[in-house]
Amino acid sequence: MSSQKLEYDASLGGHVTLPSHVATYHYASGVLQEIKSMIADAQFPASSKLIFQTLPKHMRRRAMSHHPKRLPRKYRAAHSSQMSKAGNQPVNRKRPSRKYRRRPKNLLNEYIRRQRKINWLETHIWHAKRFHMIDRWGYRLPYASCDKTYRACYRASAEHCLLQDISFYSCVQMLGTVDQLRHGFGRLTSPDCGLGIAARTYLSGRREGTIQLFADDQYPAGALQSASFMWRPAEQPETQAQRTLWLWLHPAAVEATLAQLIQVFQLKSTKQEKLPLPAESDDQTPRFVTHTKAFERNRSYINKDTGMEMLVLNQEFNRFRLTGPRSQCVLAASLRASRQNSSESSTSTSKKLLDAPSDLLDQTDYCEAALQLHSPSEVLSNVILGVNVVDPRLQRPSKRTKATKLSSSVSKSVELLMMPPASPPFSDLWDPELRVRLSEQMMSTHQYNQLRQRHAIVPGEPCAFEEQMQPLPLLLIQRPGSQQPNYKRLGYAAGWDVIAPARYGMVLWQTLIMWGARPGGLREFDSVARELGVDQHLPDTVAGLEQAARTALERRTRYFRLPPNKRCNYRKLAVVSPFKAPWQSLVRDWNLSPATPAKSFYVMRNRGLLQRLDGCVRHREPFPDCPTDNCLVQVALRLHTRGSLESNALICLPSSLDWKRHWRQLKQDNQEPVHTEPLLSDVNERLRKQLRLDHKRLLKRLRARRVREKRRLQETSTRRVHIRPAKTASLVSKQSAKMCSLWLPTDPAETHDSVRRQCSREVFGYVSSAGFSFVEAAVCGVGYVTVHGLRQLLHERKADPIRAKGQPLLCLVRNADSRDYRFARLQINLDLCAAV
Amino acid sequence: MDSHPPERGAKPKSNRNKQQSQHIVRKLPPRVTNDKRNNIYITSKSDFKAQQKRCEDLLNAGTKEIYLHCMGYSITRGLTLALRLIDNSDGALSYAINTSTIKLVDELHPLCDEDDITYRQRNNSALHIKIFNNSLFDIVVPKLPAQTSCTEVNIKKPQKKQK
Repeated sequence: MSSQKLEYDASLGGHVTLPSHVATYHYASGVLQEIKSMIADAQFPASSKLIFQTLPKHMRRRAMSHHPKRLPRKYRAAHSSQMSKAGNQPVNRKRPSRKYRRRPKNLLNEYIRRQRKINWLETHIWHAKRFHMIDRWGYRLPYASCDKTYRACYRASAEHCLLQDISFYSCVQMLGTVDQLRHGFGRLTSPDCGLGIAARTYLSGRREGTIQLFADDQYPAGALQSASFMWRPAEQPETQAQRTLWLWLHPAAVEATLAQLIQVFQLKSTKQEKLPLPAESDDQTPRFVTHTKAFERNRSYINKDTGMEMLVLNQEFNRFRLTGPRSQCVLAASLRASRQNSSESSTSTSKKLLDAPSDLLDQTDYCEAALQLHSPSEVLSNVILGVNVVDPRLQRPSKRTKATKLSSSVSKSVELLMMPPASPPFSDLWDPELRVRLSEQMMSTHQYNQLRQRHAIVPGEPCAFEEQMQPLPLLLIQRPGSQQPNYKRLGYAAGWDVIAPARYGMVLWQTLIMWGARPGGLREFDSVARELGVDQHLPDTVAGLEQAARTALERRTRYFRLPPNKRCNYRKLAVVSPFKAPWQSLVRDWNLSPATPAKSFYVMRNRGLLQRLDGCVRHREPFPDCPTDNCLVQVALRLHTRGSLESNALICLPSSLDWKRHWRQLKQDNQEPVHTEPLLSDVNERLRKQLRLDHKRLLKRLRARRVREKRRLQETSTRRVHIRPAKTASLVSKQSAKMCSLWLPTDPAETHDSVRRQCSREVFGYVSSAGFSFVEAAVCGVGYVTVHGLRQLLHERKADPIRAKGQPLLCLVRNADSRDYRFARLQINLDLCAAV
Repeated sequence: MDSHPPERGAKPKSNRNKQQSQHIVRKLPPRVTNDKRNNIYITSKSDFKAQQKRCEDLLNAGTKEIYLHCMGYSITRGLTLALRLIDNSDGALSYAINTSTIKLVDELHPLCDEDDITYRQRNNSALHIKIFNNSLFDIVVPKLPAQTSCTEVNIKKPQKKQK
């Protein structure tokens, strides 16, 4: 306790005593309160004045309240927020002038701002000037050229070279031993669908493979996507060391696939790490500190126990897809192998390592020889070639020209196919440090142009400095194209994929374009897949489901944008699901045992089963018995005579009447539809009319009420009275929703047998994509049918004696907005995903 | 790759199902030896009438000679087309025929993980028909077509017929 002393004039003051000292914490608490209130006052001033009113007189200007630029800069933000709160928009909302906006710095800032929400490809600006751009899968992607190039793009893919930017595929790098990876991916895929990830033909890194991914142990349901992969060639063969694997995933299903990979391999994100603190004494329980990375260039995951690592390499590569036989010429013209220093170092080491026989070509020579061949389909399918090329800017023609075949064509295609190159495709692209260095040391186009300006004496001639530009490592991947010679053009859509490091996208792209490649967008993926006779995304994959939902929404909005007399009445046409194919209800209706709980449908990918089904269709073998509830089979359809086919058309079973009619029409050369769906009556038609009249009447009555109210007020008022706002928005939207539901048929999920027996013929499948195919010169499509429906169709064919042997299998098809049934040839697709 | 020697011999027809169960056959399209305009390749899928019209248009446009190439199954189609052209020409066209054998390679893709890709070499017979204008004023000496040099293994006796 503090001792109490008397004050100096205690006689006057009486018994008032003051403490000899003050406790600091009392003092501090008091001061703390003061500081708090002071800060609060400074932050939120209680004065009701506006910002410009608080300024001293000599700093005030007349137009301050209107024009924020009259204020000192530090008050402007607060001022504009005050103004906007008060409801007064600041006056200066004019768009800045074009000249200002186009200044390089402002333009760049604008580009960066626009990329915040949605990713851009490296070739974005080039595409944005020439293509319709759409938002898809988190990217802004080119859809189709602004020019009319639909047929030109087909011609390019069939005869010349179609070029597409597929850099939106994300690359996932996995690091682990082969056994770990084989075991893990064994859970995500099935041996029925094709080769596994560690198949011998892929493990050397010479070829790119494709696997079907499913959710963990859910095969055949739970399909994710089909992904292509490539192994990094092992530096020393025959080691148990860790190997690297690249998976190329479609952006629609990246997150779902990554989640599955993380679950299967038990990976943990390295964004937050728990690090043990150094223990001060042994008795203490171990303490941890959580270390969070503020920024991660590439998301990475790790499993500390097994040493597995996963790295998501987003936007680290550019991947360009060249389709068509002339892609050889385009590549040969735009890529010149760089041999300046690599000839001594890399090839000699690889030769020493592998002790390869000397008659085998090394990677560079092999690549050059392969690009001299007539067509990409003459090379080993899915082969990967690694090559170092000189900067593509040096290989441009002065004008855009079509690359033509060089005169000296080598004739040793057979040898080239059978003899592998001396070494597997080693490439600098696999090395993260080299990748970073590559993009850092790249000479920008601006620098290059300035150097040319300074050094080039004769325009267009090569300069001395150009030899010093760094070579560019590329990976070339062959795609074999169509492989069904019995009903498709052999080798259609064969081509190459080119993988280039980041920042080199635009340079390479422009060179390829200058050599005559035709640029294409997302629409060309669809059209090439249709010409190939396959589906781009199977309907049970993540991307397929998303695409179905999106197109259904698009079709629905388009339908209700039409005036009512231009809409087709699907109730009258007996179509239950006009905007999307109701796969789930379809398999429910065709299931043999309806009591089983509804599982999700899936597409049959089992190659053996598909082959047996194909045998049934083609060679009339007995139908295999397999557990095939909830299962769809992909078929290729082809119309022979007239008629068109659109996506979401119905595939139906013909009746015996149809067959009779078919034969009669064949004899008479009659091209009319085989059967026409009788028009149903629409019970909702009167309802809709009544509803519409009622609604109109109600709105009219409400308006009349408001008018009366206004008149009544006007009588007593001296000023002019305005009519009250209607505020019927909720009423109108409710009415339109009700009207829409009356227009459309009832949802097929609600009632049993609603899909199978929706019209006069039994429906057993739907068309997923269709259109006129230039390859076939016929209307072709890809659809999915239920197995039991197919069995019934085959059974009826067997029972029918009229149908001669050797006739192809026929089924009926009908578009969703038409009543005409026509016969189409049906064939089972064995290669489900040749397009990817 | 070296551990799997390439299979040789013709495509077996009898045990087709057995073949399918072991691997997937991927055929490579045969090599186009000459892609000039007057070389026409006949496949089993190309439309007969369209190709006939194409040949006639080429000949009417002043092309001296055209070459029809056909292989395997489509040899009969090619012969029919050539004869049809000559029949329709009222003796203005003549033809010369060469036969050759074309080496083809099929890739055999394995169905199980342990196997590597293998190859199958087979031969197919091909026919090269040269159709030329049999005009009286310019005497044309029919030569062997030059484009068959690289793929031909053995040129069988060239026949020459004048109509």
